[in-house]
Amino acid sequence: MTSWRTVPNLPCHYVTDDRCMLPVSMRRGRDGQILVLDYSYSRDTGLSGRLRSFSSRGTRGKDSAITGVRSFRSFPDEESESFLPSSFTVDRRNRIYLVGTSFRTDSDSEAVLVRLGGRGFRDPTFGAEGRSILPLAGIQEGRSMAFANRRLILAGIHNGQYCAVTVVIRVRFQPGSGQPAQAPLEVRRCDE
Amino acid sequence: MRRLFRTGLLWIVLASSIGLSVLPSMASADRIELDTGFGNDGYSVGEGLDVLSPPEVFPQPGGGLLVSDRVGDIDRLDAQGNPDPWGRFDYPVRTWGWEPYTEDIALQGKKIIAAGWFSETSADDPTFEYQRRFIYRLTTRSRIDRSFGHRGRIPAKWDGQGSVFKDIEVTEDGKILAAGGRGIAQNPNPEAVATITRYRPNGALDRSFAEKGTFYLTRRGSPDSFREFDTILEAGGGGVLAAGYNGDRTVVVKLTKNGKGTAGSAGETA
Repeated sequence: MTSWRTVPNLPCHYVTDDRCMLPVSMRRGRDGQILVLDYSYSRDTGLSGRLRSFSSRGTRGKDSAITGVRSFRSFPDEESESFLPSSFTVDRRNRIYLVGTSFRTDSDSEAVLVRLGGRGFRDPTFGAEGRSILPLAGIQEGRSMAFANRRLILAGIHNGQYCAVTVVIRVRFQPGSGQPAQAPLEVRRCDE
Repeated sequence: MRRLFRTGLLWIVLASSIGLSVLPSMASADRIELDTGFGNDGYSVGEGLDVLSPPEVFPQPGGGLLVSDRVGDIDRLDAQGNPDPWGRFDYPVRTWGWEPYTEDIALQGKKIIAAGWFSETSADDPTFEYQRRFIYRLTTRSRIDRSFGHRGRIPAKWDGQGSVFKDIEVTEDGKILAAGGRGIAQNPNPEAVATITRYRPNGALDRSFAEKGTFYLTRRGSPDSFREFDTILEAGGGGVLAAGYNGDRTVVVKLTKNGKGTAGSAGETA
């Protein structure tokens, strides 16, 4: 028997005893495919995000609007951490950027940026095996992203001792690999 | 001669395969770093918000940014990440009533469209809350655009529990597609259906779309648990794509330009 309940701090509207799933956003890839980002939650595996790719044409039928699933990728792939994806965007080279929140424990989280190739695999040429923390310390939740004038803008939340604030950063890409050095974030009205 | 040709061919194939296998590892690696030319040493901090008000960033033509929170306030940043204090929009809670849960913003030309929902307590039963969904439009200077809808917003009629707008899309011709759900029954058996509604550029309901302006999913045989669309996208040729969750899997629906079509599901489930 399924009973409906609410999981605190999760934007889930439909939560059963052991799982929850919600589409987050939908965009078009550069070659016309339809990309749908969603996430699921279960007691056993925690949070995980998925990106689905549909063909651009789809097949319209009596009981089916779209067929043609081309890829189905879960992330993080091999890591046991829980990941709540919040937003994604596609660059001019059809690479997919996802921003979200990685939970080490219920109270310990950080914003994470993930880059995938056009076919949904993690891009090993980016950051640390396709994954990067943000270059600003203290952003516990990654929420939104967009390219503006070919530059990547990321927005997240800093949970301070006394309040929480929106933090918007702009990043640039540099040759190299691994995690970026993190600059300190100063929000006195929240932390002092 | 033939042996020489075969040997040469073998070497070409070998060299090609080695080259192909080496190519991916030769791709230049990159990583991110803070762009210190933006805001205050690379970052900009918004107004105080609570954890339940996650931000959205939206690029503007010319390089500026809109940063919205889910209580309806919208900040403007210039291309260098500096806030424009005159460009901030504070949601008029006193004038418009309950604090909203703004789900999405979009640009209609240079004007800003925002959509979401708010909760209201029933006058008959204080223990019962229902939702109203709304859309409003701001001018280029972040003022309420009173030429839109009814004095700047599309009236939020009583719709029952579960009436929400979750995502909006402005079409090339300026019309507004709004995805969400609409309540169809009252307490104690609240029920909602997933809907896609289209409005004309001035905020009037576009009655040429679907059934008098709205596409209702459950009328086409979807499970009862499908209560809302969460994301929407204009498809090629003026069609509409929307995705939601039906209690078991993510469902993507494709409609024609006029809101006609059949619903179905596709993709893998968790």
